[in-house]
Amino acid sequence: MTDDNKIMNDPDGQVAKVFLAEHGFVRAIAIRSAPWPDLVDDIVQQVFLEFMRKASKWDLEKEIRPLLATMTRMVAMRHWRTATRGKEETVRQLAEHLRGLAESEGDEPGLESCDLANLHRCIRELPERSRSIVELHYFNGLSSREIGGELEMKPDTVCRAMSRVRNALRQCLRKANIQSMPHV
Amino acid sequence: MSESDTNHNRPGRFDLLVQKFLEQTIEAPEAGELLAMLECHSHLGREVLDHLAVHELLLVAARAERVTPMKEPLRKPKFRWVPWLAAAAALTMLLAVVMKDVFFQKGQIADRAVPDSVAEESTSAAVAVLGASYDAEWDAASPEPMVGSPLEPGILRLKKGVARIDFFNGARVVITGSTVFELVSQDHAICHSGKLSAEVPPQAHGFLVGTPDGDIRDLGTEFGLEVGADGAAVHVFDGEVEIEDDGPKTFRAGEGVRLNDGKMTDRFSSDRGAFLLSREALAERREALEAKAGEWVAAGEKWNLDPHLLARFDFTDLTSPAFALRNVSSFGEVNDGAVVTSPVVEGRWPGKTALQFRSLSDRVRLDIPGELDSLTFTAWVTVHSLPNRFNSLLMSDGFENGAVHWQIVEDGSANLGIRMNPEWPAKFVTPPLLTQAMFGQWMHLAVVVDGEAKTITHYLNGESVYSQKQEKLPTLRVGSACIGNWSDPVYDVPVRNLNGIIDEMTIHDRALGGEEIKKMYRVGSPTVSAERK
Repeated sequence: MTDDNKIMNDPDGQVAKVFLAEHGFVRAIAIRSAPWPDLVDDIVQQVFLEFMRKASKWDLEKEIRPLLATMTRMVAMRHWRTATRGKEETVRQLAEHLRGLAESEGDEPGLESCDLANLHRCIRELPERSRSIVELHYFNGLSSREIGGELEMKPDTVCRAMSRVRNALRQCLRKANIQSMPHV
Repeated sequence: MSESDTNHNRPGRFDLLVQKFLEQTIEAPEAGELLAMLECHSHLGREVLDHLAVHELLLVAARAERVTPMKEPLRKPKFRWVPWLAAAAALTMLLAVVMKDVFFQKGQIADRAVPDSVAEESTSAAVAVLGASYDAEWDAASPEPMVGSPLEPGILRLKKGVARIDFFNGARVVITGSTVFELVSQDHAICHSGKLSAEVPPQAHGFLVGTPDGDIRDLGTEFGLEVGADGAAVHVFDGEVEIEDDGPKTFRAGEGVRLNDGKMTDRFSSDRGAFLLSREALAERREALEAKAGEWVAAGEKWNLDPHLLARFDFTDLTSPAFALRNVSSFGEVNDGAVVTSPVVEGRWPGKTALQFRSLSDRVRLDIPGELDSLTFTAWVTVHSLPNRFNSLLMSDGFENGAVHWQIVEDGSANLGIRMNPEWPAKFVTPPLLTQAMFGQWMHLAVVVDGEAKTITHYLNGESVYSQKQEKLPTLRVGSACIGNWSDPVYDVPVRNLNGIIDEMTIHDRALGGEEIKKMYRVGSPTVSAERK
């Protein structure tokens, strides 16, 4: 039986479930290994595909995180190199600087691994104007300049507002993370 | 003090640079500036990473929301060899679907309802398509079907002319003159009155045409039918038809039969010459289109003499592959367009060429020099789908001051974007105009910026569909531009290629009037109808 056949023979979705249980962890590793915008989703999908493709090789009874961390780092590096290759020197220096900072954070999942349900709850708690900005930018794909046109705000004002919104979401998510920790 | 030190103290500068970094519009000097900030203030590095983490989390959430949930449980597929790409696609779908289930658990989302794909997915009850029409005039009481329109079950009332209806099961019916014809399903229709011919290929065997006087079941053949006050006359030209008359009776080629109140009342020889079959209707339409194309060529020669016509691309005589798009304007100083990969296809007249826009690279490069107070763009377009949020018709490169972006939005509205000033990218957007039913049809689109009247007006098929007063209009500069695509994108939704065909485009440095645009539509329309205005 080929690997491809095994991929299609995961009738109960067991392999996929194992991966999905660690999705937040993979996302966290992805962003720390490739701290560059718009890469995480692609990296996670690629890791998933590679993980499923070699499903027969993994012992799912054992701790799977070391394996996923290694796979994710390798995939992330490929994506990061592709994304930053060909950029101007100062942009690449910025990218390197951020990667150095991110790597120093270690592998312990942080904000990056947050539950999306919590994220949606945090978005709902934002003031209406802030929520509009999030929806226009992230869910409707408008740039800050386009949002400026839409909401009759200067682009600089939009940028500052987006920064404040992300800070608010970060605080909300951290709070949610702490609350979700088991009591000891 | 260095410039970057100064900038560090400007409130919001850091936010602006981070935002540009996240939107990937940061330029080298700005990246240097941000890097300097991070090196000077170590805590800012953590902030950038936090912004990036939340940014990516939001992107993942937004993408997950766009995923189509699957209602059916995933089933084990049968053993078969699956090419890797197909497997990857399937697994990506699996990932997305399962992830969506994991992320959006019941009760965890309130404000943003997860779209129910079954409810929101576009559906069509169409059973046939209007394949062609010639000199067709339809009853004003119901919406006029356009050639290429999907036809859903319902009654068509043709007052005069000829229309060919192509059923999805393969049967073709030509209705002529004053005919009331009802579509029931893809293999069932009713002729309430009037005249038709039907060609039924083997795959549509059993196609049923009802009449008030009896039903005719086609067994793979050609037949004619005339329904009037004296009953329903059936003429079999080829093959066999089955008619109910105290049990099914079969009639063969050359035979004719009249039905009254479900009874056979007369038999005669079929009259092939009294009916128009689809191939003949097609030939008539082609002849009519060729005549109309001649009128369009003659009108075009006059239009070309307009000194305000900067460019007229008539898309004629393109060789395949095409490299140049000829500007046929007599006085316009705009050079020929440079065709980049767009394939040559048939246009709206028989044998006429046009360009298809399909892939990310398809485009025609232009340069429209000069500064304009007014302008008019017109185009004959067939849209196949609207896969992108914005779908380019004609777009200035980048989006500098005075630049113009003429596009179709994913919801079917037409949009003219004008960069009014560095802070204000204005949009002049119509309500949604195009529906899926209009995909595949030729449409005439136009937009007019009138610098004197201070208005922006959009037109669809010769009719004004939007007009907006705009007191402060900048000097317009089209400059380097693309037909059907966008070069040098500046926003984070850079993929704006058109998925369709463009057959003609004009660019004037004046505001064309409503009557002029209506005439361009009327003369250029490939709809063959003597009565059409």
